[in-house]
Amino acid sequence: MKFRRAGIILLTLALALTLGLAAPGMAAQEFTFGCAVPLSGLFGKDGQLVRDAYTFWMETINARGGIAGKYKVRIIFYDDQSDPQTSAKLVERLVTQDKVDLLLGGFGSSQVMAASAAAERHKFPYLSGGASSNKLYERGARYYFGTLGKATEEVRGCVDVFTSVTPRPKTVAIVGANIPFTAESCKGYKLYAEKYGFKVVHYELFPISLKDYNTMLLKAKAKKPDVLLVGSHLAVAMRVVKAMKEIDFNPKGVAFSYGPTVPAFVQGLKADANYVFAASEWTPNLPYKGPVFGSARQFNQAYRQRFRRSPDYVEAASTAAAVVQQVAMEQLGLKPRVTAADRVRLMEKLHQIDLMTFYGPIHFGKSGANREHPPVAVQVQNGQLINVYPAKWAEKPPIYPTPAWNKR
Amino acid sequence: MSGGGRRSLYLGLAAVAAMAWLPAAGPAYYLQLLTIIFYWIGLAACWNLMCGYTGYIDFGSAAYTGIGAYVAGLLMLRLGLPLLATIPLAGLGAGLVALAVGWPTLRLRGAYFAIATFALAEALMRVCEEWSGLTEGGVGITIPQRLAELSYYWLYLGLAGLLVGVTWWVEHHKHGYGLKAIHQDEQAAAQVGVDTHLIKLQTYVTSAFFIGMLGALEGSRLGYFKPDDVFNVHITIKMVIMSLLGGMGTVLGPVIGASFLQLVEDFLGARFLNYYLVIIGAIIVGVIVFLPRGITGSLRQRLRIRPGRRP
Repeated sequence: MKFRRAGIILLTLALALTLGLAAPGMAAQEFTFGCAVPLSGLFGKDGQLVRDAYTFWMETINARGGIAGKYKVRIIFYDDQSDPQTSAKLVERLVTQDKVDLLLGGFGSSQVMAASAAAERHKFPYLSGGASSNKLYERGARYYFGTLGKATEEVRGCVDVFTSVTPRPKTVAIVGANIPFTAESCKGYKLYAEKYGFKVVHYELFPISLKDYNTMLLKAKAKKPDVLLVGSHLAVAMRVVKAMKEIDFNPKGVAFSYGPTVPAFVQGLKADANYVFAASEWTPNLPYKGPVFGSARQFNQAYRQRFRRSPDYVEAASTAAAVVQQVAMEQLGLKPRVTAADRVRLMEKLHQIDLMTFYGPIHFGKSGANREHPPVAVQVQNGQLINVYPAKWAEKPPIYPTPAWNKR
Repeated sequence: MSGGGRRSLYLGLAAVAAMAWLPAAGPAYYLQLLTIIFYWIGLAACWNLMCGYTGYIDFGSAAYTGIGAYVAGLLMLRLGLPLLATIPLAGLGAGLVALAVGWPTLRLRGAYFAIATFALAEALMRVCEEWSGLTEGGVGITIPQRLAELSYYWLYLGLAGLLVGVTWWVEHHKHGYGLKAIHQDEQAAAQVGVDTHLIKLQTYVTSAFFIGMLGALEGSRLGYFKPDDVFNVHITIKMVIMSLLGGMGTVLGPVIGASFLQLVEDFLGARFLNYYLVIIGAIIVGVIVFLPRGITGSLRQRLRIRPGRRP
C-alpha cells in the first residue's frame, strides 16, 4: 500500500520533470539575457517589480522588431530566493550553462554583491537598478554599474522635504533595519539632518528579523521627535506603520527610504498609508526624455496600460539599466551571439556613456555609480503617490503636520 | 569490522576519488552545482552526526557557520592572515564556542536544547550586528581573498568525504553505539556505563568545528556577507530538511538528502519559475509522510539491508 503511494508520487514527479524539459530551444537571431532576481523570500515582492520592469522592456523592444530593430530579446528569469549564495550560483548557471549573451541585474544589495562578483569573474557587464549600497562601489569592480544613486544620497529627498514645510521641524528620530541599504540610509538621514540643523534625538538600528516593532518605536516615541525617519524596505516600512498606529505614535511627519512606492504598501495598509513620505529617485512628472520610451510621462502611461499600476522608481531604474545597456549595444553594433570580446567593449562603452533617458541622466563614469539625481520626495495623499518635493516639480504641496491617528 | 562495512568504505573512497577527477571532464556549471552540493553535504553531515544519532535537535547550527565566516573574515581583514591559514582557526573558534555552550546546554533535553541553541545563533547575530567597531555591523564585510573556483570544489569534496567517513566510523564504532543508546534511552545508556555527557560533547564540538570551517570557506567564496546571511536560521533549517529527507542517523542520509534537494531545486527552479517552491514543498512533505525514515532509511528497510550485515 505504502509502496503504491510512493510510486504515485514518483510518477507525478517524473511527469512534471518531463514537461519541464520541453523548454524552447535557442533561436539564432535573438539576444538572450539572463536575470537572477528574488521572487520568494524577504525581497520576493520587491524582486517581482524588477521582473515586471524587464518584461515590459522586452515586450516594448520586441514589438518594434527587437534591438537595433532586428534582434528579438529573450530573458531567462531565475528566482534567487533572496539568498546571495543562490544568486551567485544562478549567475554561474546563466553564463556557463544557459550561455546567455548578457545579464540583467537583480534586487537587494547582498544578492547583487554576490551575483555581480560572479559576473565580474566571467567578465559580464552587470547593470542593476535595484541595489544601492555604497559597498557595491568599493570593490574596484569594472563590470558593475548601478542606475540608482548611492544609498546615503538616495534618501536625501526624505530630509530635504522637511526644510520646505511650516512649522519647520526641530527634532528628528532615526530608526532603520541593520542591513546595508537601510543602515546606509540612516547614515544619510543623519548626515543631512545635521546639515540642515535638525536635532537627532534618537538613533537606532534594529535587526531585520525584529518582530516586536512596538517596543522599538516606544523608545523613539518617548523622545517626542517632530519627524521620524525610517531606513526601510517594503516589509519594514509596513511593520513600522502598523506599530505606530498600535502605540499611537504621532510625529508630525514620517518618511521611509523605500517601501511606500511599492504598490503593495498602499494596497496593504489602505488609509493608514496616507501622509507618509518616501524618498524617490524618479517620479513620472519629472521633465526627462530619451530613447525607447520617450518621456517619463509616456513611460508611466505605457506601464500603466500593461500592469494597471504606475511603476515605482526601482522599476524605472531597472528599465533604464536595460535601456542603457541596449543603447550601448546598438552603438557598438553588437549582433547575437555576443562574444567575450564584445562584452569587454560593452563594459568600456558603459563607462563612457552619457545618456539622457526617461529615467533621467545616466553617466556611470569610472566607478560604475550613476551620476547623482536631484533628490525627490513623494507623499501618499488619498492613496495616491504625489510628488511633493522639490517645489518646481511638485504636483501638490506636502501635507504637514500629519493628523494624529485618532483624528483621521 | 565486517566484510560489508569494509566494502562500503572502499566504495565510498572510490566515489570520492572519481569525483575528484571530474573537473577534468565535466561542464563548468555542473562543477559549480556540485561545489554547492558538497558544501551542503558537509553541513548536513555535521548536523546528522550530532542530531541524527543522538536525537538532540540543534536548531542553532547556523551559529557555527557564522562564527566560522566572521573569524576567518576578520583575521584576513584585520590581521592580513592568508585565507587558508584562517580556515582551521575558524573551525577552532567554532569548536571552542561549542565547548563552552555545549557543556551546560547538553544537559538539557528535547525542546529545551533546541531553544537554547536557536537562541545562541540569534544572539551571536545580534552581537555581530551591534559590535560594528569590530564587524562593521549590519552593513557586512567584504572578504579580500578568494581561492580559485576549483579549490572550493576540491576542499568541499574533501570535507564532505571526510565527514561522511567520520559518520561511517561512528556508525561502526563504540562511539556510535553510545550515541544511539543516548537516542533510545539516555538514562539507560548512562546506567550501562556510557559517559553520555562526554560523548555528546565530543560529537557536538567536532560537528561545530567542521561547520565553522565550511562557513569560513563559503564566506570567502561569496566574497561579501553580513550577519543575517551567515547566522541565518534558514541555513539550519536546510541542514535539518536535508538530513530528514536523506534519513537521520544514517551514513548516506546527508549525501542523498543534500544532493536530492539541491538538484530538485535547480532542476525545477529553471523550469517552473512561478511554482517550483510549491512543488518542492509538496515533495518534502511527501517524503516525510510516506518515507518517515528518509530516503536511505526507508529504502534500507524495504530492501532489508542492514549496515555490515548480509541480507
